[in-house]
Amino acid sequence: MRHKFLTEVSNVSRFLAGTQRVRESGAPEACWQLCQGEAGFGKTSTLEWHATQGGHVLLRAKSSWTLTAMMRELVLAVGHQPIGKNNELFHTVLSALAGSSRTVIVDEVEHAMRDIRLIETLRDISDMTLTPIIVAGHAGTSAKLKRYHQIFSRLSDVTDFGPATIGDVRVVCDRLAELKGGKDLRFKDDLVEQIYIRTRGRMRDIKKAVANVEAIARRMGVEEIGLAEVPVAALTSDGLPSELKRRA
Amino acid sequence: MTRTPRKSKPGPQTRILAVLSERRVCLTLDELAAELKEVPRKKITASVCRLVTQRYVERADKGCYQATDAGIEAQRHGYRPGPQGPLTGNRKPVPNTLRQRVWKTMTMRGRFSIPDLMENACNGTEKAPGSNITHYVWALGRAGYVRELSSRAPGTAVESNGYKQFLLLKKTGMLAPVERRDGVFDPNTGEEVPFAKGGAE
Repeated sequence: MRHKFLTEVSNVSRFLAGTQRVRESGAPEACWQLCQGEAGFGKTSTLEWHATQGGHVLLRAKSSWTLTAMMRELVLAVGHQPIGKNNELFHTVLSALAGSSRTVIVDEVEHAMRDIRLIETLRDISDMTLTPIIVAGHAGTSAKLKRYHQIFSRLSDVTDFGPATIGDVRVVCDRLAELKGGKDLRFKDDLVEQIYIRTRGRMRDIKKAVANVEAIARRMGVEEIGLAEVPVAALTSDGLPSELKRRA
Repeated sequence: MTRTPRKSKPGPQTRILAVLSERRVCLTLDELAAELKEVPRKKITASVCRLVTQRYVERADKGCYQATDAGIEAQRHGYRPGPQGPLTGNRKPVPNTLRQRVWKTMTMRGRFSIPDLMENACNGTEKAPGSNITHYVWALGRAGYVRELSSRAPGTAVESNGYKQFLLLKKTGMLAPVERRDGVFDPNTGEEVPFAKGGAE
């Protein structure tokens, strides 16, 4: 199985289109983007990939975060030593981000919403340096953010991370599955459809199913594989013990 | 800056300073070119510029250069061109290299496997990212930055033993440590960390 990040899947392409919209937004201070969705739909992995490729700053909000804790993490993430009081840390962040074209990404933002000062500090940083801010959280985060009109009005894009489509499953199968010697493994439509149904569009489970099918194809020595050659148990992601899966 | 005189043939910078220190008058570029016949005119111009930057030569008049007191002193103690002190200018921006992206992924995740790093850090332009990343993680392991965990992540190939998992022990900063022959240089701390004897931990 190839280890690649797929930008063609619908969630990622929607996210990238959203970042583009934020960059092109009319009001310069409206440079916030919200990503929301249930766990397992690839929010964190997409944000990590985006931060790595673009050299952006990624923080994961913790339930124990105070204003000082957040500022110290932010200063470390922009490449400085967190020395001094909050005021000095704030100015260190401003000088590091001003004109740097980096984005600040905050994952699990629900934790930061318990104390309005954290979100307000991010707003100050964004307003003063025009740094885009991407916040990500579970489904329903936008409803929580609506309480803070001054933040909600700055959102230029809300990206919902949802289940993968059947097209996404086809992309994963075609791009990631490989045979010995790096040859592509071809998936028949009925197998792609069954993977889509069985995994309920969860990317992690889709990848597991594709890896299982790839192993079967390698064992059989075939270059194309369909539903007839694959036991349904290889596609399940229902958490059943493997003995039960084999009987299914 | 005084250093021991070198034995190899002096370069244009050294020779120009020698001429100007000896004459103690201002000379034009044409006069210098006439003095140093085998040195191309372009090199003379560049060398005089460098000497002016180092404050060993000054422009006495338009197009006319003479050695300063510091230049005469440097010439007497054996002038050598090259860096005259530490670089104090603005730091270079973080480079967008594969190993820099790998380091960023490590610092973000903390626990990782080689396929994790490949998926996150590669952008499709690398020739052999797998071996490069494996070698880098191995070097960081020998320098005590990374430790291999006892449990493995499930593999994908038939009869695979799974992927090794690693834990980043030292998050020293945003710049990726540089692998060297006998250790790892950490640009965040400015320290050279030698490899542990007997392989990675």
